[in-house]
Amino acid sequence: MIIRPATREDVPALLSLIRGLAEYEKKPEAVVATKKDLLRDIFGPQPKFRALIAEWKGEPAGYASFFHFYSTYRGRSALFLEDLFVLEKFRNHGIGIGLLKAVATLALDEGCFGLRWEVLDWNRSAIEFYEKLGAKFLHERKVVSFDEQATRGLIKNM
Amino acid sequence: MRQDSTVTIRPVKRNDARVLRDLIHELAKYERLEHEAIMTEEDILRDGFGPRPKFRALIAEAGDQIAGYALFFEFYSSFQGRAGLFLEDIFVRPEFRKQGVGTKLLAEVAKIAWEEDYFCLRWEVLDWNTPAIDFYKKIDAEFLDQWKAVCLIGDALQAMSQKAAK
Repeated sequence: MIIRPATREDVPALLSLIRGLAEYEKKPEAVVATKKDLLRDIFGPQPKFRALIAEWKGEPAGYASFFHFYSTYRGRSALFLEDLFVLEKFRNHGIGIGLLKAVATLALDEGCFGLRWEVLDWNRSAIEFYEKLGAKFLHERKVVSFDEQATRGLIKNM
Repeated sequence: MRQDSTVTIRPVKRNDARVLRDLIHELAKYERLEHEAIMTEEDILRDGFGPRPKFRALIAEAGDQIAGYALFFEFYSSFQGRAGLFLEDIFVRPEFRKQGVGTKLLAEVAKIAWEEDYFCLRWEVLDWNTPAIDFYKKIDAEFLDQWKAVCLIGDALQAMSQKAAK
């Protein structure tokens, strides 16, 4: 297993891994990102996220994507782990742990106070995996969102 | 009660660092998380006003008094291939509540999200904070109840970084 930062050449494989994650999360239609978006947002002048690729015997097997996420209480950033995904045929080889370990190491090296992420409540296997690693579930926190339409509505009604 | 007509929203300035620190600690106290709040004025100056700011903030003023703030930064969606805005904090001091200050702050953040082409505005609310939850429901925010927030900090993070892969 090799874990390494994604390169420009990985973008097509990364996009298909992102689609693999969306299928796993039962919302394949949710991926509207294009190769151009990923190239711009990882490698452009204003990078918005980073990605690690896990290779198993030379094949792309999984990925992690993440970015800095600020905490006003801490006065420091955490790394927000946006995605962590291993293709089904490569599971149970420790690839997920390998990816998470690499992200945790980057977080510490960069002076971040922690790692944050979100998990779907029906994803038992992921929840158990995170519990085993000593992750803390912030049960009190509810995630709230305004999509574009709601945002527009809010502005209009003010 | 003070007059809502005098409420103005403006971007935070360097010389607000001290009052922003105070506001953040007041929010932490309201959220019963004051033990977590260690933010200093220096942190704010470095992370809000340095060469690569890590957040942006708005201050709400009622007349010549500081009434509240909103603080936000970018996050990314790999599915969308676009960034969204994450509203880390929104807070109104108790004596200025029920005058539309929170709505004005939120509307201003939504306006920034819209004008700068972010795909959405996201935030988190504590499950016991019913006044806030009711407020967000009234303005048609969507609750993503399927998502659970998780974190790895301190010793568990250290242990993870040292874990041997199988």
